[in-house]
Amino acid sequence: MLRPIVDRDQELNILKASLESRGEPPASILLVEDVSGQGKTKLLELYKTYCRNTQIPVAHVDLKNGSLNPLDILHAVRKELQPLLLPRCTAALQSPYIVSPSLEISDNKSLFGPASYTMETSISISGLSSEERKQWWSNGARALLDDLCELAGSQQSRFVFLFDTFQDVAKTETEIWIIDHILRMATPTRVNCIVIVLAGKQVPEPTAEWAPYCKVLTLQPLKLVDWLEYATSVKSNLTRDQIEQCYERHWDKPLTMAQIIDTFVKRGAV
Amino acid sequence: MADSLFECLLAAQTSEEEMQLLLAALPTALCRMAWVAAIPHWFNADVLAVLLPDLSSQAAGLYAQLQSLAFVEPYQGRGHNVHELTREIILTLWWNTRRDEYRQISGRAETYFAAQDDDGAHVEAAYHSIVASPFDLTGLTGRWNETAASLRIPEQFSLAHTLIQNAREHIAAGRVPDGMVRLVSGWERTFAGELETLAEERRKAQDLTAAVEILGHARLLYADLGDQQAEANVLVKLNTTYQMYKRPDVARDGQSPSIF
Repeated sequence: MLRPIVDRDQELNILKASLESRGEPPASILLVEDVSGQGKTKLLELYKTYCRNTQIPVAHVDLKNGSLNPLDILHAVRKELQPLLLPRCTAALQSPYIVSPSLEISDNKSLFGPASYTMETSISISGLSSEERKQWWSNGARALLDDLCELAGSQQSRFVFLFDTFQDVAKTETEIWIIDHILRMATPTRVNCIVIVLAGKQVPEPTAEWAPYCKVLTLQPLKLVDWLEYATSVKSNLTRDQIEQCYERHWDKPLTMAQIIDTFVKRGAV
Repeated sequence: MADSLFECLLAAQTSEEEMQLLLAALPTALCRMAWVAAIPHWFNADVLAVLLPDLSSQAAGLYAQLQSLAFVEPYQGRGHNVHELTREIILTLWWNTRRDEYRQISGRAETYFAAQDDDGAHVEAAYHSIVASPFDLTGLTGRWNETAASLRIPEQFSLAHTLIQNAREHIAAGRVPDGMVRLVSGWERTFAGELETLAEERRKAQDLTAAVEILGHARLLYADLGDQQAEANVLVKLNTTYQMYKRPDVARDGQSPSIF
């Protein structure tokens, strides 16, 4: 169920522009950094919806709670897309070293359909030395990116890969995997086929290798007019004066603003 | 009526007062479920049914309704969660105004998550165990050691950090006695020490990649404890390992985990 979202046209346009390869070099890594409750997740939700509505292939990984390892990420992307379209990734996950009590994957999901799957246990690798395991991480990242680029090519588009809540994997193996493998491999050879968006309270500091392909996106504070439009779109009972009063008090707390406006929609409906 | 609610919202002095008013404006069953949904880090219809048994027959419908609330967001692979800012306020309200009920529901959460075949769920169970019952040092130590035992493989080290961060969430909010604070710190220190031993074993076996990775986790734990001496000792070990790894450039830097 997708609830109405306050417009983030300015930020959304920057994300949309990244899909056009006109820039030199094209921005293929976008960093969205802000404090909690400012709308990073909602912006990613908006962007994902835009991509799906315009037949742009997209995958979304939320790193919340820090419990996803790189294998879980491969698995999550594979589940979000049609597994048959990710042959290299599938082959990697079918390695005899992969241990997953619940690696049952439905093959009938729509390429651009909603991602929803049930609770499962974390996947792990067994029987490999650490060195081999690191090599596997590298191969896994390459397999994934090659599959995504091929998929993007078949759609004559760029693939959009979204990571949310990045701060929750700070200093973990997953962070290292994303920075050292995914971001490094995404540039410079794959810049024309993939766009990666990293959002969080903390995002990685660009390194010399991928900084030229990176853009930092700052969320602008929402204006009163944004909230008035939102209130109209959700048919809130609040008057303009009341919304102004709320805004004076909560202009820097979008979550609270939305909750108050929504509350008066629900009461009106009762 | 709506004007009256609005006036009350304007008059609210704290975020907690405001939240109470907003939640109370929801239909009764949805309001109860919203309060309960804030207790775990994630929920789905099954979790909600367990946490509030008298509404279990309505759990699926209420779960769907919760998803339309501004402060509820998807939790990938598991269901949904209450946004961290809202959750913090609601948990403060639980603790300050309905503590016995909070303990009771946390007990149900502990039982439910502990029964799942999933290390992430066991970490969640350990989190709920902290407030589920009046402080029982022996029981809690046993529970935490049992959970920690499953986290001693490389892919699960990050879950050990999650376990500690979850405990610190309760500690920062003042929901645990001093004994629990000491227990968590002691557990963290013991785990870091075990990691150092494990790293030494890997280094002797010439598995330097593993040694570096494990030491990196140990260093994080000492940093979290604020133990600069222990952190420095780990850094020395890291540098020695980097030297063995024939990466003196990284050793000089002494900081970067990005050697792979």
